[in-house]
Amino acid sequence: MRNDEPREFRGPADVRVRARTLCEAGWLPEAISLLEQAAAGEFQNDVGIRLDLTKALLAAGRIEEAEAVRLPERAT
Amino acid sequence: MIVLGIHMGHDATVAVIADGVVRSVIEKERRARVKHAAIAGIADIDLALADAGIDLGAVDAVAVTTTQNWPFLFTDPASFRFEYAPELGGPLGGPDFMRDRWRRFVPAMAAAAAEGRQRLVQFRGFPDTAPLFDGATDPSDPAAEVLFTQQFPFTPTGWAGTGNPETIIEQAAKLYGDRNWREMLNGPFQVPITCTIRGRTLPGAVIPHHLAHAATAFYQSDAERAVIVTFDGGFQSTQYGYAGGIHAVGEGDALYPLWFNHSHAGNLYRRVSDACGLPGIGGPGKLMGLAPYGTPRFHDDTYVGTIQQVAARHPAEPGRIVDLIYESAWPYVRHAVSAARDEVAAVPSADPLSPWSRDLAASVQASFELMALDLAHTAARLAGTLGIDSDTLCLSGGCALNCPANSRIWREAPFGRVFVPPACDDSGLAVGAAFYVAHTLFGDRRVPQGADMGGLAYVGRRIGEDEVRRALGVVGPDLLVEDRIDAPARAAGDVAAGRVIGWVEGRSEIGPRALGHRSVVADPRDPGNLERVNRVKSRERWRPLAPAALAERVDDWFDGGPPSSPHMLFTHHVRGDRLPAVTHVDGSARVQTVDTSCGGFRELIEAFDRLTDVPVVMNTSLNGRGEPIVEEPQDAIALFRRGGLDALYLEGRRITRKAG
Repeated sequence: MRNDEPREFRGPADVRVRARTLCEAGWLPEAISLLEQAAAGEFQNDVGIRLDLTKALLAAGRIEEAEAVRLPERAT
Repeated sequence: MIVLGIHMGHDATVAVIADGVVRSVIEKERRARVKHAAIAGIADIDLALADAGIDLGAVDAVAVTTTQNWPFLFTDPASFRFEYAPELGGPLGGPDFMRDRWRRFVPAMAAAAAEGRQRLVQFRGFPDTAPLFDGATDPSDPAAEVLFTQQFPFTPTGWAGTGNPETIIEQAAKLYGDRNWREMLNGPFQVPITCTIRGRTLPGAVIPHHLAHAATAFYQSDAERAVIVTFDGGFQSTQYGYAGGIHAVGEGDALYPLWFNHSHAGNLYRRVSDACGLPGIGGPGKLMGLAPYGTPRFHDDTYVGTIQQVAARHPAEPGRIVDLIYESAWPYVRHAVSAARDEVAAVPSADPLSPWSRDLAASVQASFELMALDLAHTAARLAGTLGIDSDTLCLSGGCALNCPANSRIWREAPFGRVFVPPACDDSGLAVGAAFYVAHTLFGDRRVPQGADMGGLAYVGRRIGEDEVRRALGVVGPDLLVEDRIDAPARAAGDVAAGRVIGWVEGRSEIGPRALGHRSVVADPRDPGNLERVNRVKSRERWRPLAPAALAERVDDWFDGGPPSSPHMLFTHHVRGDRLPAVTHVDGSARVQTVDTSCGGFRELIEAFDRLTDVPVVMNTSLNGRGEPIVEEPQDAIALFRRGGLDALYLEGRRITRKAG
């Protein structure tokens, strides 16, 4: 799957499953991009997406970006 | 008195204690063949009672524990369940002043049951805990019942405190100084229950997690008086209660928890294991083996201390997700990442063999050891304020599996003896809970356990001769079975000739270490055996393997650790260079001292000594990658069939493959 391909997600769980698959395949930057898009878009209030995004950024050594991820306002 | 101990969390276990003696311990993982399997059920209870030769009708009380913050799940409530029983009288009900508290506790926990189910469902969905739930354990099954719980639902005022060791000691002196603290601390921690097993109702109690850890250590230590420290991978949570570790003392038949110790050493170690690419429950054990490959360049004293001390120096930001993921360990990881940003960025994902991971492992090991030492010193001072002076320190909880830290405590802390029980991790909780109920609550007299002997561990599943015959009856024509042999002598000959063997005898060991009853054995003199045995077990090449040595000869071959290490829970320094296959890169080894209670395994080493003049063999657990230690004869034969081992010794028989 390419990041510029159109895709439909039934819910945040689909995004997380796909991101995890990308990670396991060694496509960490692609997984991060996918999670960033989801966290900035229609799933911006989902805690799980942000948790996975943070973990993926940490795994990529993008420490400042990982630290910058916050809980959605609704969850805090 | 007969007590049934049931640990319901991960590493689920059922134990039967009769008149102060451990009669049987069944670890669910061994039966279900799922490593660290969670949620004990009726099958484990049935097996434990049958193995102990005790009828359910003879059981006097039930003692229950769980992993911190794990609700109780009853997958077959018609066969096994329990409910809180605030009206229960007698020793299990605790002192009268607790009644009103239990009455408030029960509806609160009932109201939280739905949340508990959701939490268990989440655990089943997390990649690191999902494998613990075997096929029969589904928390989302509407037929399964859930009971919520809290660790230490009620504790004396002040325990939650600041976490500063000086303050703990001051506050303890103030709280206990003028009171009868023995009476005050006996009975208010357990939650009374009534337990229904196969239609029979039994009285019981839920024992807090760390109290059960402390009991496992104290009651198996044989010490008349002991200072006790428990610590594990838990952390503090305002929602679910405390879960880091406790300071306690034992005296005579009674155990007294004194204060939370506010340790975050275990959480730090666990989370750093994740960061180094060694995730899951087994990660910290691997990190311990990785640490000697690195240098502790990220160690910094400001990250050493209790959870409150470290949090005060390195505060979390509200809403920051990394603090949720790493909890109290985040500042340490961040510090290590910041100090070597380029190195971390150069590696696409966490890799345990990267220089950064190796040095982070070495750093966190150094920090962990200092925190463990601090806990031992604080516990000694705390006990001293109560007039409890003991030469014995008992360590328990998953952190007590850290062998280098245990040896350092033995060398540097103010105790002549450091005792760590063989199942110091959660697999020992059922034993500890049962002991606590029998001795502290009911005042049943303790009996000697054989604390410094290997036999303490051999209380797992008993193999019947009929089971062995049944398993051997279906081995097929490809295998050769030889019986009526001198098995220890033949095995020693095989090992001396360079063969790698499996060795199965008697009751299985409890706890995570194989101690010669379910072991892979090889020649420690051959440097190639490290790689070979790691390959046979599909283990990482860099992980060390351990020696088992005749107890009375250990000083000739090792130093720097206690003279008795029957459960492979201390690190020694290897003298000389004759044991390359079991000597780690820093010259250390995790020694098992093998005494006369170890049965045929000791005879094997004696025979190997006669052949080679070396009273040491390599000993590692008999299991494949990601599997629990084998339990039953058919498990061992199945493992042998998969290849790698040259011979399997099964209850005195030698099994090999037929040529051609």
